[in-house]
Amino acid sequence: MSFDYQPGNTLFHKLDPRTKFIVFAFIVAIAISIWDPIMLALLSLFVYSWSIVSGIRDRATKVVVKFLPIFVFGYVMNIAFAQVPEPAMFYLIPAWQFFPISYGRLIFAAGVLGRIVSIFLGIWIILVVTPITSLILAFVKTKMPPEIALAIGIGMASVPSFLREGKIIMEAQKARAHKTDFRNPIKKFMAIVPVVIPLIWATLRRSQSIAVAIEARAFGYDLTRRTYRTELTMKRTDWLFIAFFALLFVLVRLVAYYYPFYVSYNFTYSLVKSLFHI
Amino acid sequence: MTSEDTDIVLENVTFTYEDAKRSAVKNINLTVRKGEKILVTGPSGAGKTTLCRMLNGLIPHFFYGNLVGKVVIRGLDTVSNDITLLSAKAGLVFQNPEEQLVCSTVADEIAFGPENLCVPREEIERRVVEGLELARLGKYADVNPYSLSGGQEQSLCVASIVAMHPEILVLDEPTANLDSLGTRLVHSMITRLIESEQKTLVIVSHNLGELASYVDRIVVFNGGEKVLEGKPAEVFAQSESLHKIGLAPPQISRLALMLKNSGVDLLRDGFPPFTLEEAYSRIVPLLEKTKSQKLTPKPSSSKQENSVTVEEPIVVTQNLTHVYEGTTVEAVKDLSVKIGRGEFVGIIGQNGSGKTTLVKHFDGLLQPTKGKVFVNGNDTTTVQTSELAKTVGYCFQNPDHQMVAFKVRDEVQFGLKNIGIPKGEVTKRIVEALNEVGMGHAIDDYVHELSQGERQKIAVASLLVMRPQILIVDEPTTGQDPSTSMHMFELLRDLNEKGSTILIVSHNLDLVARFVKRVIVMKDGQILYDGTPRGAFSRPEMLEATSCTPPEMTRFGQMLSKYGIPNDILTIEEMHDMLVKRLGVS
Repeated sequence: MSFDYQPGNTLFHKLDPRTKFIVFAFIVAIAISIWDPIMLALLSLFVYSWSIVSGIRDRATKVVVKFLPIFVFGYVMNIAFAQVPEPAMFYLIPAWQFFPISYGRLIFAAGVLGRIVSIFLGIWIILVVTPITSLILAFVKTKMPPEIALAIGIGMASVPSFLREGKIIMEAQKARAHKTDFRNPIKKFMAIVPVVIPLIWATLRRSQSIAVAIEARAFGYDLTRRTYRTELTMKRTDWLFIAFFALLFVLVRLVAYYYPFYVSYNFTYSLVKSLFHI
Repeated sequence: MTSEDTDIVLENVTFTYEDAKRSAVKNINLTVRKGEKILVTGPSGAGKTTLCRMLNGLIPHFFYGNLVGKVVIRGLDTVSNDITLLSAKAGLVFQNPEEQLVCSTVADEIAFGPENLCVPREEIERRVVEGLELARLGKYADVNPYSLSGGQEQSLCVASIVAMHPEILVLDEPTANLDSLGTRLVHSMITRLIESEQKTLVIVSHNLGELASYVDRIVVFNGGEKVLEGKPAEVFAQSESLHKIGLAPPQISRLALMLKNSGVDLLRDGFPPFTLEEAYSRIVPLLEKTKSQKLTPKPSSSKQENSVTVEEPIVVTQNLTHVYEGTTVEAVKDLSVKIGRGEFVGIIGQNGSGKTTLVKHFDGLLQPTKGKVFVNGNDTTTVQTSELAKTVGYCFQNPDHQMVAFKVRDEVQFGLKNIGIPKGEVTKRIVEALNEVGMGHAIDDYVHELSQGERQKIAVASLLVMRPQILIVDEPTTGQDPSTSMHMFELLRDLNEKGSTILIVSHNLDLVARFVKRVIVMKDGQILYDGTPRGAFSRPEMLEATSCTPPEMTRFGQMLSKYGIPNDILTIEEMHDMLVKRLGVS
């Protein structure tokens, strides 16, 4: 997953990183308060709309498409293990009565999928529209020790290089007749070993060279007095954003408390039942 | 000299890394004056990087070992002072830019050092602007450093160190990993720095010619010891000694010394020239005197003369176009080329010209977006890479990207296991392949204890063991010293003479000119030239368009073309013979 910073001057780019994280926290809180797939789909679309506002729609679309197999896998697993009090229409493996299929399970799993997508997209967009230095500063302002904040930041900045190195290693092994496209999962897993070993070496070497490079640039000179090029200031827009999402969260909680039917998967379930006369 | 006049003092310094069997540097005495510019050179393992690490306190504070003697940087003893304090005095730039970049934008990268030094925000911003200007990266301030070219990345690394305002700047082989365009970019930045700032400068480089005219002194290391020291002309007067220890002194200095032995004196006070301009100004009066004997200038070789006939094609591309996923740029465009069995082909061009993209199609690592690629008559889209690997061996730039085993034997065996060679034949093949690259003695050695040059040879052996008909070698000389680079080309020539088809992608045009039989020049995904090396290097405008610098002797010949010197001379020996003939010296 590429989450390297996309430069820009949009509303989301300009927000204070602390605001972005608070907003994300509200999105997570809202997502886990809801079980209804329609509401969660709307939430996912709402989060996706941030990518349009931030000018990263194409990247966001690509990342969702790239992760589609994982999302589908998550959906299928949720169908299998959903705790829905409903008899199965049939089983995918009838002999073991395993993998029950029912409308309720399909709808419940769709809700979980919506939750995963909205949370995933939320954090992805926030990382892409926030320079790592601002993230570091946000961590430091929230009392994280600067050395840990910087280590996280440097680690994140190294991801593109790491991915590039991984691709080269994969190609280098393919060039020596190494096969990776096995159907057998054990063989497939074992085929990763010749890629992982050089990658581990490369990572170790890179860790050391980065450690040397940051020492050579006076890292640790005086961490308590360290200055930062970027200054973080909460502006009116930041407070408005926080207020809006706080209100949204309160609203969802109130609905969940007084009208739980509308946030549970039963809302969509009853809709489907009435639409398809089940 | 008083201590106020000196920035760097090394007194009887010996350093042995923890767990190392021998000292990396031995009994070094070195004093560098304030504002002095020195060039440190030497073959791999000479102790140059160890010297750099000692100058900003990485030794002994980060790299542990036994340090004997005294290292004093601007009056600070490196043992008793902290590395962060020392690195503010002596800024160190390393060889590989990708291993130094730690931020997500160019501007933040420049700010990182000043931020660590607790510089006030307004001053940081000022230094960022200065750094962007110095590195000529003004329009890339918000861009991810990893999206820059190699030369831009290294310029950024230099600017990031300069932004810390160190009094001493140490550059450890800053252009070793770059193509000729990147090297030019970084060299021009270094010369701007030298001309505009009074900093003390220590540059480590194998590239002796280009920077020699900007430095006050050259210090030569070999086997951990300082073996030679003096003004550039004094050091280059010992060109043969430099050559013997595996260095590549400017070809023009070596030519002047050879000519001296033949009775043509281009030396001044016993010292050879080391720039083409200097040599030109010395030889022109001699050529003027013998105008009557002027040779008829040799006309530039015709297109037909330079073309290469492919008799038995082993690789054929037909209208090949490749567009990488997620981009719209055609990395290679409508490209048709044939490579004949047993050829030795050099593919040159600046980074991004499509060289690697083209050759990756030959072993199926890439598939054509449009067009066809045939290897041994088989369409590569119908054959798996693992099958093609039996015919085409692809050696990557960095040997460490493919090392999967601890022992040399197991590493070389890896490919054989993949193609299912019977057990009885495995050992025989391993021994043969290792002998072919001259590494038979290392069969039971540990891979990671070998030098990079040796690991490169093991990487080649691990392909040869599969007995491919075609061997593709991608940038085998990057980061290598001149002697190791030469050995690699010699090895490839030997393999070619034994019948292998060799394709080499390289920025080292001196060696390409000397070894290959056919050159393909690429630019913007297309072939600009395909023919003999002589024909390629006699076209300076074409090479300039691809940011490739022709070999030194070719450039010298082109400077002297009005005196009847051909414009396609490739080697020192050829130039020597031509000048001796032209000057009428027996």
